[in-house]
Amino acid sequence: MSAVCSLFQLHDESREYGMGDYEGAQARWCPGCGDHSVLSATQRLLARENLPPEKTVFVSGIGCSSRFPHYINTYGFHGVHGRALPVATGVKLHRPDLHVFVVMGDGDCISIGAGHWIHAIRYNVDMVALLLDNEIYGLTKMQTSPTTPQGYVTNTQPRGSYLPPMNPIEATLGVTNASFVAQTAEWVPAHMLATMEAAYRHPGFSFVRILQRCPHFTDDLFGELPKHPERVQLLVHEHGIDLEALEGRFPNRLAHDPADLDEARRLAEDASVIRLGVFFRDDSRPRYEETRHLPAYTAPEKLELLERELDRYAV
Amino acid sequence: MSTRLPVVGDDPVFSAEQPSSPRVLERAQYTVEVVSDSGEGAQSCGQILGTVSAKMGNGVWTVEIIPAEVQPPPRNPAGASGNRVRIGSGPVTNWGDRTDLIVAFNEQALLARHRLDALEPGAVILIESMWQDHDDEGIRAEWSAAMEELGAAGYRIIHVPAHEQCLALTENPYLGKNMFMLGILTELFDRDTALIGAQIRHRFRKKDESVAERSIDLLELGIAWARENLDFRVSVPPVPGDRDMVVMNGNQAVALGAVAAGMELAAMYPITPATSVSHQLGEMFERFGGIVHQAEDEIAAAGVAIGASYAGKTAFTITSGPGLALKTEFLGLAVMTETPLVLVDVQRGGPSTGLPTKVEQSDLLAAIFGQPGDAPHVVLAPATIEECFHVMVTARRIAETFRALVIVLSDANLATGVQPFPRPELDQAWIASAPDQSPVPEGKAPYAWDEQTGLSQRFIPGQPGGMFTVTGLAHDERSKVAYTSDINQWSSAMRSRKIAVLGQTLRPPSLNGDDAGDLLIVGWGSTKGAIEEAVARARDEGLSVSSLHLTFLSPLEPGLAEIFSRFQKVMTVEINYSDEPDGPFVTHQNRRRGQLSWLLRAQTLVDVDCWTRVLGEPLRPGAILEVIRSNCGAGGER
Amino acid sequence: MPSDDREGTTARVLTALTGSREAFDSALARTAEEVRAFLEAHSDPGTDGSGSVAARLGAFAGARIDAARFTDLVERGEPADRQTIHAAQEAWTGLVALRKRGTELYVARVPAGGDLTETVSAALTESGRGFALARAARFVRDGKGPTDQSGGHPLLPREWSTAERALAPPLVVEVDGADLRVGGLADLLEGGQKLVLIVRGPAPPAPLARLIRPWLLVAQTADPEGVDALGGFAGPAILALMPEEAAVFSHDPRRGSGYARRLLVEHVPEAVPVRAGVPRPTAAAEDLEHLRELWRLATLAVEGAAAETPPTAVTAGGSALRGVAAPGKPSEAAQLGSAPPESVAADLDPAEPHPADRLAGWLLEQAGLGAGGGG
Repeated sequence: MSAVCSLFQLHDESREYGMGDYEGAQARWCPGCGDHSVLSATQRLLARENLPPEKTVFVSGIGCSSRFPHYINTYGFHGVHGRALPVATGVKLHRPDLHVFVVMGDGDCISIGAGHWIHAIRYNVDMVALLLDNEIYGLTKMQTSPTTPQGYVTNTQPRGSYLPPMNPIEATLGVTNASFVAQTAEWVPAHMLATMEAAYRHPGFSFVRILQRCPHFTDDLFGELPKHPERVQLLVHEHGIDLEALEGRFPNRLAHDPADLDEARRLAEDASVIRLGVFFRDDSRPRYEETRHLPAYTAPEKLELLERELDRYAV
Repeated sequence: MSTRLPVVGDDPVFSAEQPSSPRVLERAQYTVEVVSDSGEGAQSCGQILGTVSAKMGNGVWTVEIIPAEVQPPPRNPAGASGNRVRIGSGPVTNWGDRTDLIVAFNEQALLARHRLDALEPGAVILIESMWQDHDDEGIRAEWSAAMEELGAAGYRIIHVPAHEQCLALTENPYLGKNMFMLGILTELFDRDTALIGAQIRHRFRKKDESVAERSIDLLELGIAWARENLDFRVSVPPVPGDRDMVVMNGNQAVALGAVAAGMELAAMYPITPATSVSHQLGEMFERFGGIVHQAEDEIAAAGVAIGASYAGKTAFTITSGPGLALKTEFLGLAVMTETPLVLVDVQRGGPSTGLPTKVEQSDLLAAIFGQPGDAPHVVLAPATIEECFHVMVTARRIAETFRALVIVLSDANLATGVQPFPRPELDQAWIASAPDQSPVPEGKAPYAWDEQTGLSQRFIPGQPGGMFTVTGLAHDERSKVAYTSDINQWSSAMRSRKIAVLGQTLRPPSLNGDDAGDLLIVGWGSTKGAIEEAVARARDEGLSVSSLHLTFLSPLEPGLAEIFSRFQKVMTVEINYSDEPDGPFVTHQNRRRGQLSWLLRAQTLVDVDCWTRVLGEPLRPGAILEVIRSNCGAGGER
Repeated sequence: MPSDDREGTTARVLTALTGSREAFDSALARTAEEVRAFLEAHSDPGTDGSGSVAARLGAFAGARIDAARFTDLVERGEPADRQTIHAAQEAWTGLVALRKRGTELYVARVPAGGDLTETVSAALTESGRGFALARAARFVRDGKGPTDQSGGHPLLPREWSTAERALAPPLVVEVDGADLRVGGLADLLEGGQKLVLIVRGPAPPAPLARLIRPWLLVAQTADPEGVDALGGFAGPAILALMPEEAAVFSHDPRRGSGYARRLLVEHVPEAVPVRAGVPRPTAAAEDLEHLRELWRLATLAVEGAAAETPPTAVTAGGSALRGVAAPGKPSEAAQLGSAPPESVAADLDPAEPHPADRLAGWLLEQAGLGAGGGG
């Protein structure tokens, strides 16, 4: 039973939404940017789940991908760099009846927002967190991000990125109370949509890293990948994602039960192949907004309670 | 407040011989301190005395004496911990000047207060005497040195064998001595023992019943000891009022006020001295359907509050100076997105970690102007504990109506001070109603600024037809990112205009004293009681002084330049740092001034002087009186 | 069930229903507060109880804000007409009054010889007044003007929308065994409706058996603790607290697909006790036989699928009624399924309809109770 705000919202349930209902402003990303395909998959998901646009909120930070809410016709909150997750947490804590999605870039989530990211995983508030990872700062024109491969030349590290990149899947899996961790790629739209759907349906904080092409700055990182399906391994399972349609294109498949955290961590750590699929999920992990959920009161009831409270301080 | 407190030491009743029945000193006001090492419970002792006095109908102001560490080294002047309790027949508005009587658990804590000039000449000192004959030679030496230092001041020192007495009832008198001392005070001030007992039981309600019972036994032991050994009593007869009163500290008042405002989400990160608001709310808020969210950091606390406000009722966040600094970027976002938000800053000494447990009023300019970029918003400052309650209702309403950030500046003095005030007459209209979820009429824009007022109707998620994206980027009235040159100028004007409109609804402040004269003292925040007491004393001396206290600091209350023009000299009195006008390298132009005086000079073009101190304690009315004396008719810097 | 502590039992059941009670209660409160928001925004300040501008601004603003000027400059609302305001106020008053009734709203008693279905329906109509009030207020709020729906005329449960049904107020019903005719309740058990019957006096042994449907949680128990089985279940449920000698079973959709997974029978009496007062002995015998038949099928199927493991339920002793809550969105819960008891289900293929289900379906069809009709 989804949380209810008031009896007013118990109507108009028969309305069916199509892709068109979620179309926002014309997207201003570069042609060929992976953000476009994430946007279209998201709109498809919303239509498939028939989410009322007014009951859906997209929260973002700052970066190319954080323009996302402007281009989708729901409520949106385009906030400050790195801090989408606290805003989203506030929305969901106050309004559990809303469907909350968070769109972050790699700098946004993994670098300046790292503290919030770690804690959001632990809070396990029911929302979908999409990390659109193009492994570079694009909006500010090609600076190293925490996920930029070692040795990769950027404007801030012209001799190549000094350190090995951060592994967001591995890091997420290491946080207490992680409940859904998946990786997908925007150039495999069917997989991306299935992953987002599983993420949406998971009750809790669903972390999805979407590998994403940036044709403008890092075309050489992911640009060739669509032509090399052998470099990708699909993690398949009935409780994760198992798409028959992808069998032909991606012959490298590994059966992985998302209930197995140790195995998930082992698979995440091994960087020899790009793994797409659900690494881990546990629907029973405690959710902060559910734990903190409280009954509501009317104003006259609150006055009565407050009088009683004041009695304790009465002289 | 015209009474100059009689000095106990001057009183002829004190003689070496014990009179057969104790002499009773009738006093209009009397100040008591209880100090110990941290953890010995002097604070409980003082708080119970204060609370019970309030319940008996006395005016009371209680201030905590807090060391910075949880467990500072024992018997160290820096570790003195306790309370000052000023008791009056009528209302008491501040902590006063010096204490008339002090109960000290060791001579080092006592010495600390003596050195801070906290003791009235001739004050009565009740000192635990166990250290005098202590096994440790070093301690005995410290005792002797202390007594020598104190001896010169002419106090009346009474030895209390508290430890020895308490051993009759407990193996560890360190954990019960405070109740024995409370017993002494109960007898000295003729406090209602039933009320004292009830307070003790309340304090230990979460512990085993035997703890409260043993405490009451110790209390009675103290009462009995005082009866046998003390030759005086103090009577501060309560003047019964006709209004129901409540007694609490400023942080409790903020917490209850937030509930009265109907707010349902507080996000915070622990920081002294703001944290106890969340302690209070944590215990209470859930009973009203509210959540206190302890975020992972100060920044996240602001973010969660903004997210919650954006999606529903106005939320609030509580912090102190360092936290205010961290939240800055989010405050700018609240202003830019016009998301209602209330921030309570319980000020402490700064900059940086500064004086975490001590009072200061040094966040004023940071609160008003501290956000990079132009970020017009509202800043309010409650002046009393009562106002700490009521300000939350007003702050919430203004935040919601003006889609504005409202910063409430409290401070450590209000936060930890305990004072009785008239029980609020609750009104349903205070309580925030649920967020509007009605459909948005077609064609309406999320920032449809009224050109005249800058106000607009906010859309809340859940409202059909209102889908839009708020953004921290400059945006037009449809919330579309601004790509043309004039939009930022226009939207900036709208965000500023609404604050100007609020200013237009304000009445000019009222004066304490005559409408014109030699000197006008201007204050803000928790110093009101001390300033007004000092002004009253000065006026009794025939000085031509008035005072004015500001509570709306942004927008500033109107009519100030005109009011100022009626006085020979205008000066602010504040708890923040300013250079002495005659200090080295200080010129009229480069002088660092009190923060309010800076603001007033900029806003009124009047040459407003200032007198400020950052001693880590509330201002003393006596000190302000000195300032008034030396500035009345002097003309100051003019 | 200790018959001498009726109030205690009812209180115990109300506690078990806290989740669904609070959901309905909170929705009432939030609706009332939304109506108050409407009144605040659209009424003439000070004239209609929504509070004057000065009152709204609070005491801190008292001497400092000029309320008249504030009204003039700032509070330029869009006042609605008096009729609209009146209708909204009625809705608000009605909702607040409904809240005031507290747990009484969730308890009904069937008078001796009374009609169970009628009592339940009447009680739900009463608590469902909240839906009617909300509909009326929403109509007003959306600018469609007051209607004759305002004032919260009763709204029969069958008139509730699907979404309203999902939030249906739960009900505890005290009923004599003699009046236990449950057939009529089937129509009310939709959405999130929870009914708990506290049965007094001589009663048929398996009256709820006839209500068993794949999506419906149906349980009989003698142990008041057994009502906790309802906690966390989102769908419709009916549970009866029966006298000691009655059948004890539970049919919990969360256990998976197929009766073999869902049905656990702990105790089936040999026959309908021939005792004074047990009403309609023929129907009672049919119900009992129906339960036996379902259980036999379930057991058979389990033995067929995993011959080496005996069915667990018979030995489960009380565990049958403590189903594991499956948190999550309904669609997800259905997709993953809650794990069935290990020993029963280890080798069953969840995708395939269980043989016992197929058989049971056919049997039910024959008995005129098939899924084709009621689903």
